[in-house]
Amino acid sequence: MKLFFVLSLIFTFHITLKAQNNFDVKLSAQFNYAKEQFEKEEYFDAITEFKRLIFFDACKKFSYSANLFIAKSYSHGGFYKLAEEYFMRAARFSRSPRELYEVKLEALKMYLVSRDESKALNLISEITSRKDFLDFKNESMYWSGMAHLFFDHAEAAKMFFNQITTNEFELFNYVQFLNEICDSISANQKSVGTAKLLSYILPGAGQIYLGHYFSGILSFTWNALSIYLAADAFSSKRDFDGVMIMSLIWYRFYSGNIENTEKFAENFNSKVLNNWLNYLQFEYKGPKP
Amino acid sequence: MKFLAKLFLTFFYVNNLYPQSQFRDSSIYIYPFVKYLFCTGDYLRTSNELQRLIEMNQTSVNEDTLNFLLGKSFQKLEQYEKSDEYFSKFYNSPSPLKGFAIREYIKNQFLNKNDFYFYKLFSNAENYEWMEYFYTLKIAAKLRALSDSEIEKDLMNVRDISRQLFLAQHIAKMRLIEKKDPVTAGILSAIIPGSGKIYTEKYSDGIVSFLLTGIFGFLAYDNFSAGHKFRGWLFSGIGSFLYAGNIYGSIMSAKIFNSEKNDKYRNDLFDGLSKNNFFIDEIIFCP
Repeated sequence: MKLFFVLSLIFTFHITLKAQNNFDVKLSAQFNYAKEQFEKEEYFDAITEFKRLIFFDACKKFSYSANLFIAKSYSHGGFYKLAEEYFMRAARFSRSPRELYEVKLEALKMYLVSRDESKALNLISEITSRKDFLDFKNESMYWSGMAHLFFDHAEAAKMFFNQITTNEFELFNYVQFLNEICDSISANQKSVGTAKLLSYILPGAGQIYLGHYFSGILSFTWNALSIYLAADAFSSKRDFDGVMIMSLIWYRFYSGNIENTEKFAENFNSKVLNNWLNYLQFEYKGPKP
Repeated sequence: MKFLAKLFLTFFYVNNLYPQSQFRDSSIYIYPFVKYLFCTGDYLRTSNELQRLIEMNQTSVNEDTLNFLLGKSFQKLEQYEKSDEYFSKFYNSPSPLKGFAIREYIKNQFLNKNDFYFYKLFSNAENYEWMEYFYTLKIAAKLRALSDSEIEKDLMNVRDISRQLFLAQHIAKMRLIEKKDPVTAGILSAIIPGSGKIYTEKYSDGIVSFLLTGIFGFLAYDNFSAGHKFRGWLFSGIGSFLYAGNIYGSIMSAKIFNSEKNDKYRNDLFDGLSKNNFFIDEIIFCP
């Protein structure tokens, strides 16, 4: 009887342990399979398998990684809103500052790719101000600089890159190069303010400054013609005609000329930036979104 | 000894009872996962997993439930033809889900704006116990098309008070939708610039139109009278352009006015139907 009791006890204990082990093995296998799908860039299947893992993982052992992988898969597929939701879930299940930092960093990369400037900048300020992220200061400065570079704030980007001081930081060599890119962007871009000021003083001059000669001459001609008409009306003692021409015709051309200059300047600067972004996308060997 | 041998055998059997197969390969695991996907609103993956489960042909779950869930998933994905495929399987089935499935099928025709087929189906459906439901959606389809032909006759066939009230309210609302005639708006603007815009309740646009056309008209007249032909022609040109634009703008404004009112009505109708779950009792799949 005693023997039977002991055997039953061992038997029950063994079964419970075996079942738990089997389940853990299955969860690990499921995680590996899902990860394999992600690495093969089969993002739809990867999401399905990670969701399956989350569903069966009652102990939430894989919740952090699974949610992070789902978020990254959605981000790769361009489903940014869903990705954002899963980044938040991953952040909730993070168990250390490093894990939380990983989530924030991946979310930042997504905002850079999706060109969501306000969210990216908010995230940067959060990452750089959190005390528990102090250990990753150099890395966060690198990514903050990268984000500012992406959103055409070359000066701000340099400011972040220059805060990376230690040579031990593995990205230090890349930072020197990124600083040079920032300098090149600043040197080659044209000031929107100067272009607009030129157009304020002499209609069409801003466009000519930006290399749009035809548009500049056309703008100058329209403005000159309407001023001539107004002057002609005033000189013929037809003041009301003159005022109407100035307010309804000339003002339209004058304000249009300034808007036009601003648009040209922004396009010009975007081209300079996009040339470097293209380079970063295809040639740059350092970490990028 | 015999007892110990039996015990050992049992132990060996139970030890290997837990299958080594993965969660994705066993139908025991797939169905609960499908319900989870369905309840979290991931209908695309729900439909994929359900189709896989049906193909496996080894599930203990009732096939009708699977077909119904598939129909619902495709309906949520707005793939109405595929959804029809699964709901129509219930036509000759004794399943307790039949009544729900047929209603969902009819709802698909309504959602898919498949009105012609919807009416055809309706005319063949007189023997069904859910006839009243057909009438409800038939009236809703007419209201969506802003038509009230024979609508009272149809309403007589709806006996449920809440449905009757809902439909009657929307019939009344449809008849009260404000409309602006584009031709009237154009003629008004041709007579007095800007008045067409005022007729379509765009007051500030109307005043601006009136002032601009008036000023340029006056300037043209005044310059011609004073013998300043160039400025006369210049102001006439600009004035004519504004005058023509004011007429065209008024016609478009009337059309936009009508379309906004119609869209608002259709949205209200759809919201009301959604709030009432299209008058179908919800089957609780999700906890």
